[in-house]
Amino acid sequence: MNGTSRTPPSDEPDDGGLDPNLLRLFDEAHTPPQPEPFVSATLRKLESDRRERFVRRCAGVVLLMIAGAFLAPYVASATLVLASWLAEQLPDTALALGSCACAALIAWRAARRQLS
Amino acid sequence: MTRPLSPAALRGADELSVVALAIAGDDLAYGELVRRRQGSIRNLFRRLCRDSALADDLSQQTFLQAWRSIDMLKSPAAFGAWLRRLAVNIWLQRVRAERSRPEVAELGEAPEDATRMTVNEQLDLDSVLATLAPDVRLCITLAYAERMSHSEIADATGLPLGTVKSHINRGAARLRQLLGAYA
Repeated sequence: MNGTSRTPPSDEPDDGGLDPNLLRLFDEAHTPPQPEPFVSATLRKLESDRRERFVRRCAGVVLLMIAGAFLAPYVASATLVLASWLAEQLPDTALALGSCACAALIAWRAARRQLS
Repeated sequence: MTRPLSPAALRGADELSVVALAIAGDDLAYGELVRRRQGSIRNLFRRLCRDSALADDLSQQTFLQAWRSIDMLKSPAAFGAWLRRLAVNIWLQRVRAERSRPEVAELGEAPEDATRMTVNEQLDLDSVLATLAPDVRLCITLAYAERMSHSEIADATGLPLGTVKSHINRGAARLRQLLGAYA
């Protein structure tokens, strides 16, 4: 279908009241506009939008990487503090069970990913 | 899995294949869709706003918005109706924005002396359409120019079905009155 083609009249019952003279007038007044200038302008706009979004995404990734580089030492030290605090607080059996549960969870996720 | 086609092959391809390629991210295919659909979308906006520059601007917005969200389209067969609905939404947003600016005359507001138009103007369908209230004009244009059923119009515009029917009946009566000599 091209842009100037007309769709056939719908035969739904609630369309019954359309005035045939007005329908004819609308059909006669239908003037297809020049396609090329519009199409090329629209494609240029899409291209610039795509470039803009790409630049924005790159800037976002760079910002995340910079933020990650700044925060990584703090996150690592906080994790170490938490892990050593947990190791002091929990009995050996709880730690062993926790490790097993984590390993099982990781194995289950990996297996699911491979299956899908 | 859809394989990209050359521009020449795209021109000869059926619309479902082109839409499927565009959904898969093929920009050439989307360009082909713009080429195929621009006439109907631009004509729709021209009928609604009687300003070809504004109509082209709104049409571009429609194609841009469709391009950004085409991956959300589930069925390629629904592309035409989906694009038209986007166009209607963009028009309604524009009308609402104009309404919220009291210092600016309402978009396409009826001229005060609509009934005192010259004979030539009376024969100009677009001039007569411009005398209708925006919602009525939208319903009339979708029904008569786009051949949408009343329920499709209600769905696309968010207006109740009864309101759509009454807008179309009132609008058609008004057009008949203003175009008095057309029969």
